[in-house]
Amino acid sequence: MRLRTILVYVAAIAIAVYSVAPIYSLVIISLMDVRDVVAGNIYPVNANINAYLRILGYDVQGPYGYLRAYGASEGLIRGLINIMIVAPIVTAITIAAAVPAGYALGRLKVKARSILILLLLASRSLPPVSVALPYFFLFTQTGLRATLLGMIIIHLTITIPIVTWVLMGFFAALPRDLERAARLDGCSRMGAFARVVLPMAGPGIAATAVIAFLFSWNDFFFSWLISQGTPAATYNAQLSGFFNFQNEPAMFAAAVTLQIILAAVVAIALQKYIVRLRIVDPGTVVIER
Amino acid sequence: MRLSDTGLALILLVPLIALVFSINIYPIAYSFWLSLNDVSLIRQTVEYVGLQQYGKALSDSLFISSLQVSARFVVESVALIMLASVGMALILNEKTAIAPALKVLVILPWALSEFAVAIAGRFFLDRNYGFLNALLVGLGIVDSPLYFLNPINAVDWLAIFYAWNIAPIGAYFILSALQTIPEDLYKQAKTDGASALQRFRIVTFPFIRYAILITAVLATILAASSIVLSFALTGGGPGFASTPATLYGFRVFFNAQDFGYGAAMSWLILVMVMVASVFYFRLLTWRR
Repeated sequence: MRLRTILVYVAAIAIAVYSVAPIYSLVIISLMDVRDVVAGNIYPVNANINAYLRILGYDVQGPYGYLRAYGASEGLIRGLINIMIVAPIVTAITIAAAVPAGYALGRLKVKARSILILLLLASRSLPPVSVALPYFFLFTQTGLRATLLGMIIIHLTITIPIVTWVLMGFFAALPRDLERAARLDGCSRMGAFARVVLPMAGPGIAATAVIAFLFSWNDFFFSWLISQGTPAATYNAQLSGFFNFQNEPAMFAAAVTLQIILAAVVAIALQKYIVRLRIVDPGTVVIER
Repeated sequence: MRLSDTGLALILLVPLIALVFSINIYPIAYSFWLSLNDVSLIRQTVEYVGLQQYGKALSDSLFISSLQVSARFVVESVALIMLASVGMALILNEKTAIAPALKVLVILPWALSEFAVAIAGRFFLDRNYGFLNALLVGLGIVDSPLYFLNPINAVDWLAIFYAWNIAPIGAYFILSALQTIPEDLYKQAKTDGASALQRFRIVTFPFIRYAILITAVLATILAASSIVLSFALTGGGPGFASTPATLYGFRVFFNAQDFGYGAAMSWLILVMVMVASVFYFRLLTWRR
């Protein structure tokens, strides 16, 4: 028994190291001067936040001399503001649309239910590259390209199907007795949904809100497609500019770390809800009569 | 007036249908139309060529080799994701003092964007200042830095970093299934003299079978559509060694601006992903 406990702890530590190592290496690069980076240090030497200050538009005095601010810092900051507007709106609309749809598919008797579910799964499995060019043309023609509204719409086409699909399983797994009791007491279907089902579904909705927020916050492909090089460019789209600064690893690492921080904070704050997500076999979903 | 269930469901589904299906139909139809034409930006012409673009793709050796890269990437990353997520879930399910902290650490790679994963991978594996090389040289395991992203292994590293990114959510799915297993079943199996492996097969596996399947489905679909990771980690290189079909199709679209040909390739990719999805959908709804 002792040996087993030791093995479990060894495995746990290995998992912790595996999960954190690439993030650690990114963060230490962001904290070092380029000379200390190239020297191949495995912990930060002359640690400083110069790279963060430079990408935010400040000239700094580094350990090896004066360093100029990142030339495109204005765009980067604008990108940060843009995504801070887009991601919460995407999250709110996704939840508003996916909660009723997930409830309908998971709990009501719907004709053509399996076809709708298959369509959901199919629209999620469209490789982005298949719709990239048509989206590009469509958004250019309708004037949605280079606008935050266009960005919100394109994110919704991805987040709504996936969140509906997850919530469908979640609603189907909730106990039915309370809802039935409420209806016997004279609640309408909608009344029972709002007063009984919705409060029970709170943790599941919180978890899917994280999924929607992280998708929008993290999206690179569509953001790049719709907004790159325009005033509506989001933070991620602006990051591609760093490919021209290969000799400045610290600034690139700092810019990426800045993007990760909020995502990590949100994921950690709400991880207790994510761990409770139960995906239920769509084949065994019991449909209430 | 009382609504029937179907009526109410239709009302509840309106936002979904309006937002998702309506906005997806035009791009899908348009890209199919493109794939039947030869679009030339220089001559400003659009010529109907039927299925020629598809024939061209299937005889294009670059497209075939990019499909091979895709297949290798998908198989390797799904295998790694399954191994890592089951392993992590089993360890997270143990009642250890560090389990709560570990649960938080494990979710971190999943919170990263594919782009951030790619850049983290780039810095981790870099030949000149990469962390892995610094560590190996520092510990005296190798004398000089290794070239990890070489033509042979670049795809493997893409798969490793993709698995690093996706495995946490699979681990969470499997963990929540593990937590529904009644403790008594284990005790009973133990008193009946079942070995650890037998206990896993007879008690654990039936409970987590569905979560494992869902993870495999998601992993396959996501890996097959992945484009940002290869674009930002290896750039598809060295040479053409780690260019999956998605990235090749994208390059034909946006760099070569051969829209008809790019659309035809993306349709071939789409059909392959669809076939896999339908296969999985059958597997998911399959009853013993």
